[in-house]
Amino acid sequence: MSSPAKRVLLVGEPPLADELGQLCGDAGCAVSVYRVEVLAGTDGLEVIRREAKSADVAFDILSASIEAKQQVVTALDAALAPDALLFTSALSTTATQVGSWAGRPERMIGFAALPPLGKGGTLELAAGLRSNAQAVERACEFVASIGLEPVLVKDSVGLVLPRIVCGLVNEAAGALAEGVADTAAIDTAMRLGTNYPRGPLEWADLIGLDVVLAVLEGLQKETGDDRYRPAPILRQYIRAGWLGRKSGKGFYTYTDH
Amino acid sequence: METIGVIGAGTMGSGIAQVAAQFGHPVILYDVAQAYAERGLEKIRAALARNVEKQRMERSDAEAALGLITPTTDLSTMHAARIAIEAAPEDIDLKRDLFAQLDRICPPESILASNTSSLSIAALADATKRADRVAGMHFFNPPPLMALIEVVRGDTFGSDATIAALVDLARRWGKTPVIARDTPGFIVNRVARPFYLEALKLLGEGVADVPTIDRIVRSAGFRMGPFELMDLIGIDVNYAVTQSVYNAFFQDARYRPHPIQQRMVESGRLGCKTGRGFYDYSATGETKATP
Repeated sequence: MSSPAKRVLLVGEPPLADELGQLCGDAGCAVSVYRVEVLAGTDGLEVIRREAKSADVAFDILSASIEAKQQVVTALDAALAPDALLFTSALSTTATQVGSWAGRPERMIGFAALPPLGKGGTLELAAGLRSNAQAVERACEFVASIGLEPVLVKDSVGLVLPRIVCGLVNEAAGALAEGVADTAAIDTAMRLGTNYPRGPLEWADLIGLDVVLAVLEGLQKETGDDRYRPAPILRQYIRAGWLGRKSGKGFYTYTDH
Repeated sequence: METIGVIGAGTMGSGIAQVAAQFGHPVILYDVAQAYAERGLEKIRAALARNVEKQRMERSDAEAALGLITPTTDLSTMHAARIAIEAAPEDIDLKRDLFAQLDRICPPESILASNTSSLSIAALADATKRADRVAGMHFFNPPPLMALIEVVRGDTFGSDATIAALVDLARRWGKTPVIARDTPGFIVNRVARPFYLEALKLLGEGVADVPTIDRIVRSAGFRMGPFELMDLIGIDVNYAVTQSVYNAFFQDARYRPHPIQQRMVESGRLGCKTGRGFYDYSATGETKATP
C-alpha cells in the first residue's frame, strides 16, 4: 500500500462515484469508474471481475438496490487480490452485513459520505465486526492519501452524516407533501432560519431521491423504529423517475441535464 | 410610517422593536412591569451602541431609532398600532388573553400578529373577533441579524390581504419572508427536529461521541454541529421545542424526544448559559467535551 500509484476501481451511483474517482485520480491513482448502469449490460459483472483482478483498492458505492449491491460486492470480493482493500458504502446497510456476503470480510471497510465531496472533506469509516485492524489502518491511510479526512465511527446503517441529512430530507419532504409550504420556501427557511449549507430538498436532489429512500428504508428495517418511515412523496417521485439532478428532475427541474 | 406595537420586551420582543425602529416606525413596546419594558429598551440601546461602535450604523440613526420607541405597561396605548406583534412567553392562556384584549383595544383594521414558535395561530385567532386579521409572524433569534420570517397563515381564516401586508412589512425590513401553514413547528422548528434527534440517537447508540459527530456535521458545511448548537440554544429550550412538536403531532415516533435531553436538563447542564452542556464552558472561554 505504500506505492504511490495505486489502481482504484469504483462501482456505483453518481455523483459520489465520480467525486471519489476524481479525488483518487487527482492523488495520482489509476482510476476506473463504473456507474451502476454497467450492470444493465449482459457482461457487466464480468467487466467488474476483470477490472478487480488488478485493483489495489475497490469501492462499492451502491445503496439504492440491495440486490445490485450484493452482486457487485460478491464479484469484487471474489476477483480482488487477497491483500486488496474493499470499501463498501454503509448508507443502507452495515459493513458487517456486507461482509457476510464476502469470502474475505476481514479486508472490508464501511464508509459514508454525501455529495458534494471534495478535497479536504470527511469520509466516515466503519469497521465491520469481522474487519481486521490492519485493514482499518490501511483504509485510513488510503483515505488520507486522496485528500480526505478519515473519521472512524461504529458500524451502523447510514453512519453519521447520511442519517442526519436523510432525516432532514424526510421531514422536509413530508412538510412539502402536507402543504406546509412550497419547495423553495422550505429550502429558504432552512438555509436562513438555521444556517444550513443548503436546503434539504435541494440536497436530496444532489444525493438522489432513490439513495435517500434507501437510507431511510435501511434504518427502518434495521431498527424497527417508526421514526424512519419514509414520506410517501419520496416513493411517488422515484416511481415517476424524478430522482434528482442525475435524472434532470427531482424536487426541482434542471435544464443543464 | 405606521406605528408598530410589540407586546413583550424580552429577547425576541426587544429585537423586533429594534428592527421596526431602525426602519423608521414609531414603536410601542409593552411589558407587564415597567422594569421589564425598561430592560428591553436598555437591550436595544446597547445593541444600537454596538452597531455604532462597529461602524454598521451612524450615531444619529441609532439615536433616532431609540427615540422612536416608547416603553409602556399600559396595553391600551396599543390603540395606535397598525400592526401589533405579540412576543409574550409561550403560554396559550396568557396569549389568548392578550389577543382578546388587543382585539378590543386596536382599531378593527389593525393586524394582530404573533411571534409564537409552537402554538397554533388558530387558537389565538379564536380569542378575537377578527380572525381574518390574525396571523403568525415568526422571527428568529436574534431578530436584527436573522433574515428569515415565517409568515403563518391560518387554514380557515387569515385573509390574503393580511398575509400580503405582513410579507410586505418583512420585505421593507430587509427580511426574507416565507409563507407557512398553521401546522406544528411551522417549517423550521419541524424540519430541523432530526438534526438534533438523530444526533442524540447516534450518541445514545455509541456510533460516535459528541465532538466527532459535531466535526463530521461541520465538515459538510453546517456552521455548527448539533451538540454545540444545542448548547448555544439551551438544552432546556431545545428539549421544550422537541416536546411541544412531539405532543402537537400526538406522539408521532418521528418527533420522540431523547432521554439524553431529559437527563441533561435534570442535571442542570443546559449549555453555554450554565457553563456546561455537552461541552464545558467554565474554563476561560475554552470549550471541551464533557465526559
